Amino acid sequence: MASRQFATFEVAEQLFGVEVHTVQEVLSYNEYTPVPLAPPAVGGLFNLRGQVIAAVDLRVQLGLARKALEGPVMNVILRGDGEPVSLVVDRIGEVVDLDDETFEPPPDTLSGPTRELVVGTFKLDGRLMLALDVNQAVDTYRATT
Amino acid sequence: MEDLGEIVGEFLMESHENLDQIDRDLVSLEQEPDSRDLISRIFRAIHTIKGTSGFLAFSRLETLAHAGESLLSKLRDGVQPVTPATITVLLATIDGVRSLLSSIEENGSENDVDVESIIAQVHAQMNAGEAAAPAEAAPAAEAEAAAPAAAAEETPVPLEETPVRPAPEPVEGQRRPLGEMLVESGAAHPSDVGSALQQQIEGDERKLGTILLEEGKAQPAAVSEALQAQTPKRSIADSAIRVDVDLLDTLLNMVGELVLARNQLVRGVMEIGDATLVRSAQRLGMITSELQEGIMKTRMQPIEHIWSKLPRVVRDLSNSLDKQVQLVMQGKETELDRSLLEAVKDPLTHLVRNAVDHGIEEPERRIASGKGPEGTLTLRAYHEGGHVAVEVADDGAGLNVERIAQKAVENGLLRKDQIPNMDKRDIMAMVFQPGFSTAAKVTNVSGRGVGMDVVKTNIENIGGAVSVDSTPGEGTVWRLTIPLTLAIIQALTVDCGDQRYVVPQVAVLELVFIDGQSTKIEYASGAPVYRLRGKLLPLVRLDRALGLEVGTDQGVYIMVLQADGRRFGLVVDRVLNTEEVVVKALNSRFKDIGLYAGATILGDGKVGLILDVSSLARRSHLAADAERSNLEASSRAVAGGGTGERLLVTAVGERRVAIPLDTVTRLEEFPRDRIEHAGSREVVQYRGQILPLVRLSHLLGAYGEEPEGETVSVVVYSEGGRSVALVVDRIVDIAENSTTARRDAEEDGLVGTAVIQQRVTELLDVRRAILAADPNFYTDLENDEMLVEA
Repeated sequence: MASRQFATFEVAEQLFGVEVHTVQEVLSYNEYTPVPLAPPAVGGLFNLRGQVIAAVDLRVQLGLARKALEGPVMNVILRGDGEPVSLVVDRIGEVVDLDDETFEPPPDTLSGPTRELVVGTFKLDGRLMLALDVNQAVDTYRATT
Repeated sequence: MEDLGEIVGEFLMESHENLDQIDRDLVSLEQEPDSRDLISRIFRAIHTIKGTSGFLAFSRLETLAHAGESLLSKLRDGVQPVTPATITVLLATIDGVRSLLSSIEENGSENDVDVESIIAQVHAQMNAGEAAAPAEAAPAAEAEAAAPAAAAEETPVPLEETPVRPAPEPVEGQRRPLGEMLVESGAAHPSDVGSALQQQIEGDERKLGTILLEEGKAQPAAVSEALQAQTPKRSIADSAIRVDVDLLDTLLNMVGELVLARNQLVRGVMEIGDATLVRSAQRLGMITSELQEGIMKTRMQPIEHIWSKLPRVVRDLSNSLDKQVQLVMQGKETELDRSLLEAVKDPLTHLVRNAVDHGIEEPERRIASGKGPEGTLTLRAYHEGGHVAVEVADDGAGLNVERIAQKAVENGLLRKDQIPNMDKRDIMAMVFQPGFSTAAKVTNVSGRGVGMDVVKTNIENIGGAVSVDSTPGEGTVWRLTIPLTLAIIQALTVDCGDQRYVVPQVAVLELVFIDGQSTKIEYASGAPVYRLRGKLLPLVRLDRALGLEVGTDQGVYIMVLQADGRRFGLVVDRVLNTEEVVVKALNSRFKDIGLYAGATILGDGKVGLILDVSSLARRSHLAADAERSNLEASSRAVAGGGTGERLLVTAVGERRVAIPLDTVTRLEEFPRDRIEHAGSREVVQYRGQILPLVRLSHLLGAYGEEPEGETVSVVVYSEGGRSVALVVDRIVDIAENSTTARRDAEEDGLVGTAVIQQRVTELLDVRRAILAADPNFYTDLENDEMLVEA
């Protein structure tokens, strides 16, 4: 039985997950440089060991209000396509092993921006985890167009 | 290329270098046909290629090189003179070798490259030579071919005495043979050297010098001197290594990181204030700077590297155009970062081709204009304030400013009325616009209107700038300003809002502090401007451009910037300092914003955005409307209080007519087809009103040629809700009239004449002009007033 590892995190009380191999690292960072005129989903830029990383506000991607980038904020840094990119999340969860058996497509009742970002639902003990489409999640032009 | 052996790879690389050298030498040889040094050098280089290709079993390459070598040997032996035709054939041979090499590099074989026709040309050339001076039979050359590639090991030497024998050269290096040097310096007798060589050929494994010494044919001192003279070349070859450019790039990036880390550390240490730590930090700082410098140096190459191909380009092109061009190179040792050299190569080649094609005239035309038949094309490179300037200067006919202006109008790049207000150099800069060509005919070289814009784009992409200056009849200078390196730039950090931004220093001309008292920002219907030494500078507020909250006008700085040939001022809250910043490519998702050229890590570890000055200018719609807003601005600025009377100077036919600025409400342009007729009057609809027009040319009896164009320029005058428009040919300038001579005029419609900007200018009787447009203008007004009174 095939199983996959997911790194989980919470945004607005909802548990999300991305496959572990897409994650470069997870860290908390507290100084962001805003980018005027950038798409709203771009929270800002920060310096990761000399590399300039764009932080994508997952809340905005999900159609919620911007997260205030004050104080330490958790970043899930994804390897991305050629350049790392960060997802700003509320809280980091565990890394979980999930059987494909627990997977289901997103429920039909799920709609709005979230529907486009989610590839499926995993039934965990007591709660549901939405598996994110990594490419969609960091596509900052998606929400605005 | 992976499947090729290392030897082949090295052979290709070396051969390419050798070919470039041969190209240069051939072109020089054409200039000085008697130079034996050049011939020998070319001969040796081509021989090396022949030898190695034989060794590696590239038979077609070998045959071709052999043919070239045979022809060269005739030149070397003086059997045949060096003529332009010979050079052309030899150059063709080199090209053939080059395409064979490329073919080998691409698919590992030398198929499909046509060498036969080139070889035929070479033979024809040799036969031509033979017809002139029959000598030197082909069999000798055939024999050569049979003895290739025994070329490694120690060197048997070609000597004066044995000219026919091909000289197997060492594959690596191009040292001068020891025997030759000894003979030349008189330290050994030619026959002794000859016999020593013979011994080597017969299997004596001792080196030439050893043989000569042991047989007492030469003095030890002389031999060691000659060996010394040989050595430097070898030692360069041995002490230099080839390094992968990627590795250098990685090193450079890491040093960039180190610089940033140092900046942070030094800042932190300063705050702590511990003396020992400060010293250590300073030391670290120094070492880092030196390391950075060292790494930079490894990437530096003399500009000669890209110039080396140009003599050939110039020669071929001038020959095909029947022009005579001498190429002069100055400062070829000037060094540039490798990646920049690559980026500059094509633009430079284009400028050179363009200069030969369009810049330098045909010999007849040159003579007719009193110049020598041979044109001079000068390439010049030098350091200038943290930049490298590269100039391509010709002594040709120069740019035709009128023609460029006319073309710019035809292409819709400029309005006709803009031109008189424009600086000559700004007009010339139009040639950098896409699709711009004033060439009367399209040649296969240039004139298609692609090129100059590409030159400009390419140079700007690497943070450089292009400009052109030209004097009619004397020539044109194209000037490229190139940053020394790509990765680290000098920049100014500025504050705007609560964020810090970085402006490349190359774009900054000067800084002005606005205190709101002696210096202040003025507004032209909302558009901010600043009077910089009497000229209006359009301003861009950075906070507004970035969509941030707009701050105050006091206690701010104006950075006077230059981009795309336009000047403008960028208003920022604070200018902090200049520092070297490491440019980081910005995530691709921000490219579309277009305002940022990149990002960098600031001293405090935060990310700072580097502003893209030219797109900032473009986004702020400065480009097209600059002139216009200038004028409008000054018309408003008057109220703010100027000394003396300010005048709007217009052109009407041949005459210059000044209108007091405080009577001017707006400057407008109306499309000609919007002009309608009401009775005998011309009117336009303007802001829901009927605006009567009066043509000053009619009023003043200045019947010149009606200016052409889609639009008419008008000066709108409003009072008490009524407006009239004065039609002028064009707006010239705004001038201050305080001390100039003035004389009362007898002429109708004028109140006087004054000298403004060294030109006689007539002062318009505005009241009279307005009445001409609308006889009831004032009476109605008075009636209205009476009504109010009543």
